[in-house]
Amino acid sequence: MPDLFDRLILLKQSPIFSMVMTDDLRVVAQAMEKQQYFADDCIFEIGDQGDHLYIIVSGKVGISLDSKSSDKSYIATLSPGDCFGEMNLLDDLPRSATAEVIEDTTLLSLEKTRLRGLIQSYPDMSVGMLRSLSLRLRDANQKLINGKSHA
Amino acid sequence: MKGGIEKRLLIHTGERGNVLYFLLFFMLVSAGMAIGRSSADALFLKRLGIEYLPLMYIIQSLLLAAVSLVYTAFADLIPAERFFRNLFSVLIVLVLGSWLVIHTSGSTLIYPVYYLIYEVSSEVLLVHAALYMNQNMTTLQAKRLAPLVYAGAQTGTIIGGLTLVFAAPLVGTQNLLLVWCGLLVAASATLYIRHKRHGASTHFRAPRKTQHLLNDCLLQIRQGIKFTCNSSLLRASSLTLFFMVVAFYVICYSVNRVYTQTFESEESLTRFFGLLTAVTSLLALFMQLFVTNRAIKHFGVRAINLLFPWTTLASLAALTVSFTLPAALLGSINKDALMPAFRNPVHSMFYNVLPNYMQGRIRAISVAVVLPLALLTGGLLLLLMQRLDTPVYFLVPGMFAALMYVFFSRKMNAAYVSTLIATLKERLFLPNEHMYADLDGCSDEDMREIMRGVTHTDTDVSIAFSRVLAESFPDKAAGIILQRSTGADNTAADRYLKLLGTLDIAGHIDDLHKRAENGDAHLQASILQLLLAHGDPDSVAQTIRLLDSGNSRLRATAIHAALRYPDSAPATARIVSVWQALLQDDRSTQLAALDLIPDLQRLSENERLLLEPAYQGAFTQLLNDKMDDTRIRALRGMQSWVGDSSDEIHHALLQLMASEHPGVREAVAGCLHLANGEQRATLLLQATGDANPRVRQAGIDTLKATTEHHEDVALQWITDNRGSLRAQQALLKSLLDARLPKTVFADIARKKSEEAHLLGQALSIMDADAGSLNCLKLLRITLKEQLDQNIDLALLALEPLYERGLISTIRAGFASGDARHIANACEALENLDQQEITAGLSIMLQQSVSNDFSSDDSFFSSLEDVVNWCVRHHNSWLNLCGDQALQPLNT
Repeated sequence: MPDLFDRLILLKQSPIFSMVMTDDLRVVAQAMEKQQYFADDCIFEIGDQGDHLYIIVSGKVGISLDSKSSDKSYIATLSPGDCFGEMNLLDDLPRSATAEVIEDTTLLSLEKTRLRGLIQSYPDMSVGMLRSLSLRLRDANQKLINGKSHA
Repeated sequence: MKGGIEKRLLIHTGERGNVLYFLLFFMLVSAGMAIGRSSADALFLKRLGIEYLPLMYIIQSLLLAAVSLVYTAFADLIPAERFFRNLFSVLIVLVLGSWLVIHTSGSTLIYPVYYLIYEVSSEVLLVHAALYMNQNMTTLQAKRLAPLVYAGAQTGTIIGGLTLVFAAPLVGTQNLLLVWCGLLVAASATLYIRHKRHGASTHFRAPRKTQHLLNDCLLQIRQGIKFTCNSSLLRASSLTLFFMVVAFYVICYSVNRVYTQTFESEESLTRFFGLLTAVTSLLALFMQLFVTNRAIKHFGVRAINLLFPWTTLASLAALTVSFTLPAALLGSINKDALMPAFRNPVHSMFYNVLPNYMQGRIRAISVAVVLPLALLTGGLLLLLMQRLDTPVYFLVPGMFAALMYVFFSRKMNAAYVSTLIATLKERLFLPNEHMYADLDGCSDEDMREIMRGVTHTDTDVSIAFSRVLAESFPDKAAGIILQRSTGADNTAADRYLKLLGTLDIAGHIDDLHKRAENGDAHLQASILQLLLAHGDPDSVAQTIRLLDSGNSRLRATAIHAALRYPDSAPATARIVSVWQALLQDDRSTQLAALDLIPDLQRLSENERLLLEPAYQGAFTQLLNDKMDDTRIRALRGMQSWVGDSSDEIHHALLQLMASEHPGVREAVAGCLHLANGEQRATLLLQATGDANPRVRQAGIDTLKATTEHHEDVALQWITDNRGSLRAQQALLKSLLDARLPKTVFADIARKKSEEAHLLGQALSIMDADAGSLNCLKLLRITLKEQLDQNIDLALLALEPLYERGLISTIRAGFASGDARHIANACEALENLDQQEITAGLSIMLQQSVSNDFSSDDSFFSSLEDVVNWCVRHHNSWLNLCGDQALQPLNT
């Protein structure tokens, strides 16, 4: 049970699930699988057919636009509470980036089909997903602006 | 210390900078205006004479109309701060010019000119200051902070007044113009720095740019007049303003006449004006700081809106009785202390409930049309009456104007809440009542729009529009839907054909027969079912012949036809044996046999007894299938099952109600009549509390269909707090149209409001004694969720107590998450009747939105107390969270 409560807090902090009531999130929390990765592991590579979204419980994950980043240049570094991998669950396209473990990491993962079922069950989740994607878009825009000002 | 002062002054976190800026800005502007006003009055009254004052009012009215045209053009087209900058620049040039002329020429003409410069600019500044505030604050912020900001303005006026007392004898009245200029420069610089750092006003939305300025001015005036004609609040407020201005200027003239007679020299009059300004402003400041806000909070905006009209009437009555210095002083206190302390903040709040696009235009109408007209009326009245011996001749019409002012202020109050709701509705894009109306009989244009949907390439879109077509144009729909189904795959064609079930297909029978002959077995079965349902005699024999078909759906259709038309059918024993075979074969035949459940009623009891066990076996098998689609079809079929149900079925229902697939849960909810006693109630509560709205609706539908006095049961469940809050909400919604007594709903609202109050106090304790443990964090989140749900439930219960759509609009305002809509929703809630419930709800809503639950008194004494309360709570989830939080507290 304590694990469930910790999961609920984690889910409530992530933009995707923040709008869903904690009572409903119990189902989501139970549907998620715990996965353990070690530093330098590759969670997925750019171009892979993805079927899971991930939430970081502990550790750090780097996102890069190269397959298996050798020079360790990440466009984003994600920490506990951050969510990744949800984009291609919606658009069915291959992974748009590579996710690599920077520090030993524990993740919660949710399978695509279950996520879709959950969205139908808990319509508030789709608002959360839009919110999450909007935050990503803002982040990308900000990076573009920063890039322009540096140039 | 700082926090304590801010709390007393109702300044929320993050607002300090904003408030300080507004205080400083309005202080500088007001200090300048105080100096400008006293110097203009003293110079005019002593160097020209009071007998010209009514004429000044008349000229002022014409000038105001012209200046307002320009103001209308710019008011809401550019950010308020930019308009201020332009205005200050023009004013600095004009005041400096006046000073130069006074010093270099002996013409007395400059004094009325200077007087008019002050009067016109002060009117524009006053109107624009309110617009500036609205562009930077929400209604709730304005309500809290406007009195404070106006208090800053009063402080500026006091400083200006005291400056006059000391400076007038030293530098002479005419040199005070330079001091005003200096303050205008300082205000301009403050404004510039503020907006350079923080950007344009937060709530300013730039409209389209245009080249036709004059046309736009007139257009805006016309639009303003149109808005005024269409809005009861604006009509009343325009008339209120008209009569207030007439009464106000009668008081102004009267008191100036008394003062001019009392103080003989220009300097003594200027000093008196300075002192009077300082004293009245000090009074106004005291009231703004310690009275206004609390009075508005305690008595409400509408009650305070009547205060100034009544005191205006009283001032005029006092002057009528005694045209002396004490009565004049009372008049001055009324117009210079009570007006800024009560009338201006409340008036600003009334305007704030209007949509943004209206506000600028309405203010322009006030300044460009209403104010000049009122001033002209007042000026003419005084011009004609001042020649008569006694002031009663203009004071009595003034009193009549004040009476009308009271009357229309009451009208304004009556229109306040309805305007708030209308604005909220418009901002939230909520449809009007007529849009809910049946589409039956809609126009050709609507028909074209529906047809675009019917012919859409996406099947789901097309079927959704076909359904609308069938409901709104039943006479034309059959042919169109039939045509659209041509070429669609079996599943889609089936869905289209189902829509034809309620339509008249007499003209399409031949076409349907042809489609059946050319289609595959699935489509053929669907068409035959449709034709049989419409009693087509030709299809009976054709269908019955299919009893030996290799397709299970066709066999099932044949059984149905044979039972429905027994004259043309073979012996029942044969039919029953085909039927039994269907139930014993594979899943696809069992699924086909589900369509036949209603036909069991056509059999004898013995025949039914042969089939029922087979059905029960088939149900168990189908419900245990791995495919959700199969389970859903089985459950949908079982919805018409009226026979016994086995323990296996009960168990399966319980299991499937926890399915992740909402379609499965919806289908389970539809066959809860099969569940036994207590299990049925539990599952119905589970269904009505489901996160998916379709499952909730299915639960409600089953409750209604299976329970004789379902209203009583639903009410009992809500009162006993059975099920989740979402379940109670769904149950309550189902009761809204049940014509139950209003007291029932008022009781529910009161109970839920009390529960919300307790939850708020629990949150207050948790915030004060916050722990870092996840279980405590989760308990806080859960308490907050339950608080929001309870408030919403209380609001929902209030719906039947008010005009239709009123509470739902307020709820939509809260659900929007937008600070401005929430503010307006709170304001509307605070001004409804049944204040003993709504006032508390509004406070809790404001606390919930700001996530600030600090409270001085509490039902709970400690965190342990709160957690123990949660452990004992009837809500199972809160209970569980409380249980979890209790463990670390105990250790």
